[in-house]
Formats: sequence, C-alpha cells, structure tokens
Amino acid sequence: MRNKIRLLIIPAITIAVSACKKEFLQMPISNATTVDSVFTTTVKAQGAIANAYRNALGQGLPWKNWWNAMLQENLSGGMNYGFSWTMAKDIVLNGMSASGVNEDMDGYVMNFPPIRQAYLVKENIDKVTDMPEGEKAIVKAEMQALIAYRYEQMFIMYGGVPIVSSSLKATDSLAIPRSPLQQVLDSVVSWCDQAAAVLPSKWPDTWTGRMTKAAALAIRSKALLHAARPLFNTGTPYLDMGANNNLICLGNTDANRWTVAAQAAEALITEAETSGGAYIINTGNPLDDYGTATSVPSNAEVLLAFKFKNDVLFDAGNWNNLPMNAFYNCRVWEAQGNVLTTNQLENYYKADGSNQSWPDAGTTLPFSDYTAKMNQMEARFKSTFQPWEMDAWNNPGDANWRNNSTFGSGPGFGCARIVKFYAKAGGRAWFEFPIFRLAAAYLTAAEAWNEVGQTQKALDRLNKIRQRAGLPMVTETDQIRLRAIIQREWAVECYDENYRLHDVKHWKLPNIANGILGGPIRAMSFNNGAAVKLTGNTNYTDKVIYTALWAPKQYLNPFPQTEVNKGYLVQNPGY
Amino acid sequence: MSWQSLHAQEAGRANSTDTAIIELLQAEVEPGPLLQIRKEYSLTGTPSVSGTILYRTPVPNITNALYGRLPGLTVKQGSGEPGYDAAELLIRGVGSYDNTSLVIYIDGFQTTLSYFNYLPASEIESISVLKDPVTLATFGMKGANGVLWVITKRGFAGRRKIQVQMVNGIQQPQRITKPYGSYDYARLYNQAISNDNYALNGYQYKYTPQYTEAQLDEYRNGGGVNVDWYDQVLKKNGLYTDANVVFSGGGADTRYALILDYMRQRGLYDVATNATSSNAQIQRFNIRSNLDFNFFKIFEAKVDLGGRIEDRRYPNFNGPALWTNLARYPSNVYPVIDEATGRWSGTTLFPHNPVASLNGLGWTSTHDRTLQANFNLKQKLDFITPGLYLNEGVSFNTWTRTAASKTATYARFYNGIQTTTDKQTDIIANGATPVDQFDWKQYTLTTGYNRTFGIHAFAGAVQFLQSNFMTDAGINNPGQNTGNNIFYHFYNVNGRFHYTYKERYLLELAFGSTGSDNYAPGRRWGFYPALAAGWILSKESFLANSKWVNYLKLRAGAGSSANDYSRHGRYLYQQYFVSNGSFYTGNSSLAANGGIIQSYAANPDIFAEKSIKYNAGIEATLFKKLALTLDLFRDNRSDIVTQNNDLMAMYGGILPYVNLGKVTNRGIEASASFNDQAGAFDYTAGFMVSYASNKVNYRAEVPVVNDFNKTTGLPVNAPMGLIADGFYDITDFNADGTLKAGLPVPVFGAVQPGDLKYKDLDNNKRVDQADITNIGHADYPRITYAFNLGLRYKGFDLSALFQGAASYHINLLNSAWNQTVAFVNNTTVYPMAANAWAYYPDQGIDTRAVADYPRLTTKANDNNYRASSFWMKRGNFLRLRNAELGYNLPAAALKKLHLDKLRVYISAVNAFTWSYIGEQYDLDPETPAGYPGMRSFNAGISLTF
Repeated sequence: MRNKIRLLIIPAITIAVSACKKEFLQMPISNATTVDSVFTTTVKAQGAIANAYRNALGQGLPWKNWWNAMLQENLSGGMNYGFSWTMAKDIVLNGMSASGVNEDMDGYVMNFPPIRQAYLVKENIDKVTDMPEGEKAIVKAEMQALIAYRYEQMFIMYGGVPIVSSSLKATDSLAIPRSPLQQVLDSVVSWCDQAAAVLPSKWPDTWTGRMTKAAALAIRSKALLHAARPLFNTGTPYLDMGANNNLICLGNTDANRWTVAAQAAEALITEAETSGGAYIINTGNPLDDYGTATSVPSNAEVLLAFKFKNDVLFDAGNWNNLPMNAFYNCRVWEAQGNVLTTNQLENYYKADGSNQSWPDAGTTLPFSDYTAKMNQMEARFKSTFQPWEMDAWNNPGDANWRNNSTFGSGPGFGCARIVKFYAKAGGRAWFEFPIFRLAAAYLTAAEAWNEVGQTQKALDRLNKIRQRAGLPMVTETDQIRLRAIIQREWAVECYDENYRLHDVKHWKLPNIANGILGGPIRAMSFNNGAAVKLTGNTNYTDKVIYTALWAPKQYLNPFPQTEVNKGYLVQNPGY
Repeated sequence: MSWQSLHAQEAGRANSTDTAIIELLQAEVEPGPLLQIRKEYSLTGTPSVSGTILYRTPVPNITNALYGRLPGLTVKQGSGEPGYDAAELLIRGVGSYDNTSLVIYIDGFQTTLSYFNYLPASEIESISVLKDPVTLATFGMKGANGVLWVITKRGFAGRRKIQVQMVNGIQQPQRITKPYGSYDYARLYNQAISNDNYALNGYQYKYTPQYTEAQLDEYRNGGGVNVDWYDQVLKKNGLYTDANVVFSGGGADTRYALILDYMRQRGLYDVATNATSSNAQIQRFNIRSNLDFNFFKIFEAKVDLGGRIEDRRYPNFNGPALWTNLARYPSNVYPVIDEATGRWSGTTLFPHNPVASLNGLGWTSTHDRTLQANFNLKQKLDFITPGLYLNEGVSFNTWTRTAASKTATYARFYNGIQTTTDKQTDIIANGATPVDQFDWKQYTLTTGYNRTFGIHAFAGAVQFLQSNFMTDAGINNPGQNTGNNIFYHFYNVNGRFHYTYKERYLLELAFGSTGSDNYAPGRRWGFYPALAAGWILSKESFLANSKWVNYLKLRAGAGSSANDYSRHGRYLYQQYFVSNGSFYTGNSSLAANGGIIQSYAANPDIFAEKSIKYNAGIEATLFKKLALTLDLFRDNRSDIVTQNNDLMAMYGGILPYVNLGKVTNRGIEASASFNDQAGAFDYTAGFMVSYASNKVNYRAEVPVVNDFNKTTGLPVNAPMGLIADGFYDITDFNADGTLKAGLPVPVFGAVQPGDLKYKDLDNNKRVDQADITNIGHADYPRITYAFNLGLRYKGFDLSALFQGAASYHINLLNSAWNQTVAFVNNTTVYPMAANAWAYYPDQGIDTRAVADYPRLTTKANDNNYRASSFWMKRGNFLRLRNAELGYNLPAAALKKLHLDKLRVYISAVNAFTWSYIGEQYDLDPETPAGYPGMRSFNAGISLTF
C-alpha cells in the first residue's frame, strides 16, 4: 500500500506543475497602440490630431482614392459630369435619391467619424503628460473649430441635423433626432466664437495649416451668410414639412440676418488682415495674382486649406488608388474628363469687362473665331482654363502644360480644359484645395451689404476683387442689378472651389431648372459636331450635351434611406 | 472494461471486417471523449467508420475518403491538385455565419486540419463524428461546430501479425471543361465586336466583323493557329501509389503497432520530373509507433509517435494561375513555339504561355515535417476503491515547412520579335527557406471511476486540460489582432457521467468549462452543461421475446457548447488605435503628420459564440438483418460575434463587435443498413441521408433600403442578386439608344438589345442594388445522401458506394467566372455562350427567340455579369464514389503459401458523375474550375502473415 501511494507522487507532481495559473490566459504584449498609450505623449497625440484634421477638412473632396469620385463642380453645371463612371452622372441626370449617392460622396453617415475623432482628442488631450496647458487649450479649440466646420457644411447641405456634443459610446442612447435649423446655426456660431477666442492668429511656419482665429471666423461667416440667404431665411420652406418646417427654414424672413452676416464677414476680414497676415494679392498683374491666390500653397489669401499631398502624378496607375490630383490635374486623364460648359463660360467677362458674344446654339463658326474670342477673356479665365489648341496661359512656357500635355482622352467636347489650382505649378502633382480664401469673405460682405442697402460698402468690397482681377470698377447702385453682378462675381472668382452648387440653391435662383442646375447643359463641339482634335480643328458649335434634372426636393440633400430606416431621423421633403 | 479486453475486441472486429463488405454494427465501444461506453448503452449515436473501410478509397488526402461514410458529415470536394486536394468538412451543415470549422482530435488530443489531411488510412482505426449535445459539451468553447474524433491503430495481445498492402492507380480528371477552338472563337468574336459597335453604329446592330470570311474558312479547314491548351499542358493520366506495412502484436504487458506508409501522387502536367522541371507531385513518408505497457500492476502507459514527411514539388508557376490561363487563353493567340525563332511564344497580353510555364521556369518544392507524440500514464487505483483511476497525458504536436526551388525565366517571342523584357536565364538553385510552423503542447489530468453494482452501472470521469498553441504570423488566423498574437492558450475542465439502471434506463450528464485567452479578465471562463436520457425498449418484457425487434433504443439530449474561434479575431475587449493616413502642415515644404484613429470600439463584454443543441434519436435492429438510426436535431446559436450595424450614424466610430447574432439550424439524419444471404451469396445494402437547414434570425445587418434586400431571415450566405427577366429586345429602345419610357432604367451602365433585363422590385423605375433579393439556395448542400451495395460470393466480393448532394445552387460567376464570361478581358469563349443573343439577319444570325446567354461583348459589362438569378444553377449531383471488385485466396491455398490472408482487388474512384450542371454547362458540380477533381482506377494487393 505504501509503495502504491509513493507511486502516486508522479501524478501529484504533474498536478502541481499544471495547476491553473492566471497568467496563462493573459494577453501577450504586442505592438498595438491602445487607449492607454495614445494620449500619453505629444508625439502620439499629434497623430490623433492629424487624423481629425484630415478627415474633417476632406469633406466633399475626392481624396479617398475612389475610382468613381467626382468634383462638386460636376454637379453645378460649371463643368460636365465628367466620365460616365463617376458618381456625378447619375445625380446630374436622375437627381439625388435616398438610396443613391449624394453630393457628399462618402455620405451623410461619414460626417460623424471626424466629429467623433475631434471630440476624442478634445476630451483626452488633458491626459498628455508632456504638453503645456496653453497648448492643450489651443488643441481643444482647434477640435471645436473642426466640429463647427463639419456642422456648417451639413447645415448648408441638409438643414437641421442631429447635434452631437461628445464622443458617444456604443452603449449610449444614439437615437438623437435632428435639431432645428436655428439650433444648429447657434451651435456653429457659438463653437466658432469659443474657438476663435483661444486660437492663434498665426502658427509657426512648420504648423501652417492648422486652425487659426480667422479660419474659425470664416466658418462662422459662411454659416451666417447661408442663414441670411433666401432658402433658409423664410417662414415658407421650399417644400412643406408641416410641424418639421423648422428643420429646413428659420421660421421667418428677417433682414437683420443679412446685417449679422455682413458684420461677421467684416470681423473676419479685419482679423485676417490685421492679425492673420492675409491680404488680397494684387501686384497689378491679374493673371499672376489670381494664379497665386488660387494655386500657391500657403499664399497670403488662403485662410484654411486642405493640405493633402499626393506627390505622385496619377498616370496610368492603379484604379483603386486614384490620388486627389487625378481629378484636378489636367495632365492626368481622369481629370481630362472634366471640361468647361458654355453655361459657366458665359459668366466670364472679357478683359475689358464687357460680355463676350458667343455663338448661339446651332451656329457654327470657324475655329479661328474661337481662338480669337478666348484670347479676349479676362485674367481669371486665363488662369483657370486652357482652350483647345493652346498652351496653358497659367504655366507659360512649361512643357507640362502645353497643348499636347493636357489633351489626352477627354469627352471630345467642351469649351476648354480646366487648369485651375495649378498656376505656375510646373511638374508639381499636388495642390492645396483652398477651403477658405479671403476673396470669399469680400464677396460675402459685398453680398450682405447690398441686401441691407449699404450699397457703397457693398461696392467697396466687390471692387477690391474686381480690381485684382483687372476688371473695371462696378458702379451699379440698383440693389437687384448689383445682386446679379455679385452673384456672377461669385461664379467666376470661386469657380471649382465648392461654392456654386449651394450658392445657386440658397439664392433660390428662378432659372435654377433652366440651364443652371437643371435643364440644358451646353458645351462647344468642334469640326461639325465631331470630337475636338489636338490640332487642326476647323470650326466650333455650341450644343446641348445633356439635360440635367432639377426638382425642388434637391434644394437639400436626402438622408440615406438606410439611416432613416433606423427610425429616428426625419427625411427631408420629397425623398 | 480494461484496455486489454477492449483492444482484444477491437482486434477481433478488425479481423472480421477485413473481408466484410459492410459493417452492420461498428465498434462495440463507442469512440468519444473521457468514457468508453458500450454502443448498446450509448446516448450519443456517434457514427464511426473504420480505417479499413477508408483504405478502400485509394486517395492521397483522407478527407476524400469520407464521402458518404458518416451521417451528419458534409464533405465538399475541392481542387484535385496534388498536395492541395483537401475536401471541405462541415458537421450538420452550417450553424453560424461566423467560423464553422470543425475541430479534430487524434487519440484524445486536438490537432490541426493539416495534420489530419495526410494521415494515411493505414494508421487509422476509426474516425467518428461527434455531433450530439453531450459529448460536445465536454469540449466547451471548442465544441459548437462538432468534432472529428480519430483513433489510430494499436497492437493487441496475440500472435505477431504483419500486414503488407500496396495499391497502384492511374488518375484522370473528372471533367475538363474545354473552350471553343479557333473557328468558333473567331465566329463568335465577330458577333461580340459587332455588338460592341452598337452605339457607334447609331444604336443599330450592324455586322462589323474582326475576322474575315477567309480567316474563318482557314480556321474551319484546320488552318491557322488553333492550340488546344489543355491538350498541350496535360497528359492523360497521373499516377498514384501507396504501400504500407503494419507490424502488430504483443503480450499481456507489452503491445505494439508499428506502421510504415509511403504514398506518391503525380499530377496531370505533361512535363518530366527531373533536375530542371517538375510535374505536380506529393510524396508522403509516414511512421507510427503505438506502444502499450503495463507495469507495477497499477500502471498502464501508452507511447504514441506519429511522424510524417510530406514532399511537394510543382512547376515554378502558381497552380491556380496556370489553370486560370488554361481557361482564359484563346486557341488562336499564338502557337506554343514561335515559328520564326523556335522559342517560346508569348505576348504582353498573354505573357504566360501555359506550356512554357511548365517547361521554362524550373520548379518549386516544399518540405513538411510533422510529429504528433502522445504519452499517457494511467494509474488504476482499485486499491483505494475498485474502478477508480487517474490518467496523465501529454501531447506534443509540431509541424514545420521549408521551401526550396530551382528557377529560371524565359524570353517571349511573337513572329520572331521579342515581346517582353523577360530574359532567357539558366536555371539556378534557391536555398531552402523556412515558410511556416506551429507547435502545440497539451497536458491532461484525468480521474475516473467505472463500476457496476448490481442493477446500477456507473462510469464517470473529470479531466483538466491545458493547451498551448503557437504558430507563425504568416498563417495566423484571420481577423483582428491575430497577426502578431501568435500564442493561443486555453484551459478546459470537463466531465462526463454515465449511468445505466437495469441495463435499460440510461442517463448521462456532462459539462465543459473553458477558460479562453481571447477575452477580458473576469470574462474568460464559460460553463457548458448537458444532459441526455435513453430507454432501451428491447430490454423490456414486452419486447424481450420479439422475433423482429432485436434492439430498440430511444434517446434524447440537450446541451450547450461554444466557439471562441471567431473570424473577427481576438482581444475584441481591448481598445486599439490604428494609424490612418497623414495630414500635412507647413508653409512651403510640407511635413506629413501620421494620423491615428480609434479602431473598432472595444467591447469589454465580448465572449464566445454560444450553441444550445437538442437531439432526439432512435436506434433499432430488426430481423437481425436491418439496422436503423434516425436523429432529429436543432442547434440554436446565439451571441455570434458581429459588427453592430444597428448603431446610429452619430456614433461615428468604427462599429464594435458584439455578441448579438442568432442562427437556428435544424435537420434530420437517417441511416439504414441491411445484410442477408441467399445461398452462397452474402449481400448488403446501406443508405444514409443528412438534411440540415439553417436560418439567420438576427445579425444586425447593414440597414437595407427595401425589406426584400434583407439577408436576415434567410440561410447563412444565401445568395442575393437581381431577378433576371429575359433579355432586352430591339423594341425596348428608342432611336437614340435610350430605353422606352416606362421601362425601368438599370444603373450599371448603358444597356442595349440582348442585355439582361432585371425586375424593378421596388417599382421606382431604376434597377439598382436596392432591387436585390434572395435568388436561390446557398452554395453548401442542405441534403447529402449516399447508398452502398455489396455482394460476396465465395472468395469474390463486389461493392459500390454512391454519394450525392442536393438542394443547393451554384453561382456560375463565382464558381467558374472564366468558363462563363466570354471574351471580356481578352478571354476565350465556351460552348455555354454558343447560343448568345444576337441579331444580324443579313448574316443569317438571329437567336432572339432561343437565346440562353446575353449578347456577347468584349468589354467589361457590369449589367450582365453581376449576381442575378440568371447565373444561379442547381448544384445537384450523384457520384459513384467507389466501386471495388476483390478476390480472397481460399484458406487451403493460403496455407500452402504460409499466409494468413491474401487479397487482390481492383477499384474505381469517382468513375461516374451525374449532375445538372455537367449536362447543361459541361462543368463539374463540385470543382467547376481550377485543377479538377480526380477519378482513378486502381489495383491493389493485401497480404497478412
């Protein structure tokens, strides 16, 4: 018996060796970053900050490497819808729908990740151990301003939207309903005011691109301008939503909103020019000045830019990795699908400030007439477009921008190629999209002062922009006629800067369905209605390239059906 | 029951079944974890198949011997490429939309599928399918998807026995789906290119051929380039050889089984295997030594060593890519050898001349070494109380793979001109490099108690298991946080208690309690109990004397189990941050600031998927000739790990993984076997059928636009697509090529006559992804069935096994894209497209009324080639999996030869297949594309002395 018990020592040892140890089930150390480590040091926290910037400021821009992305101008009638595979085509021809792509491209839902990221940084930045308190306050203000930017953009696109005021947990009650338009506006304004109080007017050179006081005021100004414009500044919305009308209009028409908008624009101009070091670039050479203002990274006119550097020119490379420059840089075939429409061409003046006389639809004129008329156009036109059979005016003598360098494989029609943002860029593939330019603040002020009857102030602001463009001063004092001039100035000065689409909706232009957003969209065709040639074109004709669809429901974007199906979100009318 | 008597029984059975055609009652003791319960008293209804039976299907990969052998096991044939020919295994169909892979145990220890795949049948005593609630509960978080329980051969007390077996076979593809030759290719290409000019020709079909009549005539008369790539690359037969020797024997204290096995399979490629080139080939060298020792009266030790080397060699060109090229390259692209230069043909568009891929690139090989070493030490503690024992077990399982190759490149020519930058190079040797590895250490400690007191019989055991698995990052599981986290640890404490009262009332309790390292501290352990009861009616007085009911048992059980092996990964309770792009700052020289973003939201409560299983069954033996088994089951899965798409957009983060999914799976398994004699004839017949049907009850799916877009409420992986509604006709279009008013407009690109028309289910005049709905059954069969027949007359025996599957669909675009989609991306065309919609009356072409394929095109066509009911085809098939004719030498002759036994036989594997998709589309129902499944004809001999 004793022997047998001794033999049991072996299993006893086995038991002792294999007895449950708690560490056995512990997660091993790996190389991943956890919540504990991300907000410990400034270096790591900057990663979170960088992401908040990129995702927040990329709104509406084709930076996500999508093969079928679009530009906002594809929708506004300022250029054709681009190649047939872009998202724009369906929207232009069939209108927006709750189950289709909307103008935001990545969609309503994707507004919230950058907002969440900004809140996460704002809420956790205090945990960083090696950052001074003052810097933390600035980071919080930057994040607040980024949130305000996304809300200002949503305000314009959707009307009242749900207001998120912290980084939500998955277990929180997430069924947040849409807030009334006024409340969204008030939030944006107060967020901008809070941020502007803390943000610096200027950053050291290495940090240029982060939020400044002027950028926060620009967000505020843009929101207040749209609040004053007719679409929202009314008691009668574009389509009736009954008890929910406060989601899509402000409830009354109040002229004071224009005064507020004018003052906001003036406050922005003052801050930008006195402390921010910004100014309207005017050296007396309109072609170069406008080129500098729209194309040179970090130039004196840019208040906030999407600083996103795709240094590789997309050539014939990977379709699944289209960089942003592929859609803007006319040296790339994808961008060559976009051409100027006649609808937009007619907004440009000749260099002497008069209107160009373009042939009526159906009239065929010799190609030499085309070339001659193009050469008569104003400087901003020449900085923005490259007509057929010409080298680009805005990159004189540069081999990258010769007639054959940008000809490629476009649709075969079009008034001209689009070369904006690349003035004197030479071989540089990337550009910085200007989100806020000082010129827009001037036009905002001009528009608002005209509406409240302060004609002289309006003309002062407007003419500053006209002067730089090399155009004669405007002296019109009739409010309605001046309004039309200012609206035309917006279309020209800020072409392809993501203003036009919402400007024409928020102005509620009477002709919106007839050659602006809807109706016939026209462009030049060449050689008796055939495709344009690299050289040797014989004549040109204006023709309708397609008929765009406009319906009043499109004043605002639809919320995605999949989100509405969750039951907490009121859809915009008509969808 | 002691090991000894048990093995004596097993051995006796093995002897008796060597020549039996089909086993009526399998092992006396039912295989399974912890306990050895006599089949008669078992509550689990576990089906088993013996290694002897499996050996009759001469296939390199053991999974391909399992068709139709085990009710409840779905076996789906895959590729036939030597070394990569495993069939897919599912127990009781699909129970979850997360991971459904079953778990494999060999001799009581878990191992990997790759170890199991090349286990030779000669080493296997039996394979069983554990699918009942009770045994699966004991596996805790490894049990939910079922367990394949493998036992290897052991020695038994008795005279030394040596068995030598050898089988040789020739292997052929089950089916090669060949494209059209050059004439038909060119003829149809003319249609396709004309169709593509529809818009250019003012929205009219005008015949604008690419190939002239003269060219067509030349092709038709056998001229021009017309290469049958399959003929050029493949030879008629591959070869298969397996030889093994089994030594076994022993006495009361020591028993041994020593098994040596060699297998070689050579593939179908028409290329020599030598220093500079290689056919596809696998060679396998196995050695297994299973030893039993009894000593000091109370100890029983088992030492099992199973070692293996697998050597694979292939042409230095990716196998699946070669088969894709064979399927894609038109017959007329170029001759194999460029006539002007006598060098390999090749162009930039068709750079990989399939014949040159075999001959011009050298070869690659992998070298795998595997060992499973198990040690068990049992102490019989009868001196404390009779029937009590302790057992300690250790298992070391390890595998490594290295690769070596000899490679070259070749220059491509076309009409005498070099077409690519590839250079002709000499063959060079590349040193062996490590590829992958794993090792798995498991320790068990078991205590058990078996005793019968009068009318009470009790057997029970409790086991503690520690498992420690480590692998290379390269083959780590998919999902979050798996790449770097290569250590897998878990504990399992389980128990099983079986009680028999009066030999007729049965009760069994079991539990498993698993601690998994995937979850947060405090959330790591789960407890899974189970209960079953049974009643042997045939032991009751009212049936005891029945002449026709020999045995009748009713049983029912319920139990829980779980699965901690989610495809979504591990450590989902941890909040991670991941890098996400860059943002730039700076004035003139921009600096990138790397971005960091919160990864999916951590879920501190994340836990294992849970399964509650119910099973009820009947087992009966009638007339001493007919054995019947019927099982009904239901499996309720819950807590399936799923990304929660129900969250509102305002959350704004990457959605968390939550235990929220629910799937119900239910079905029936029935099997019957019958044997009888008529004069000198012995005959047997068997039948089995398994049916399993599942439904996703909840999965928080991405919200859909229309109710009918939902996948919730449908089976797992139910195919979704548009409903095809014939072809557009010429009358559907306006003169400017637009669709007539009132017709819904598809959004997948411009359509023209002959394109597929789809139903606009939501009636919004647009056909888009909001119109998709369920278009058929999923791609796994709901019904699998098999029947076998056997005949024995004197020394001769004849047997046949048929196996089939039904109630599932094949999406041609998923399964055989290259065979289905003609011309697009410069591919060839198959007879499937012969009757494509076309309308060129001047050429005498008008298939509008009879077309069964959309109009041909050479361009990508997003409208026609997208998931729709048009491409969904019935997958039903029936195969003759195995047929065998054997002869056993009579005893008198054996005696003269000093042999115990001598058997010679011929057999055919997969000789015939009947299927819808084979008849209609010339495609194999299980392996429609890629390296085909194998059919083989074999001859073998088996000697025992």
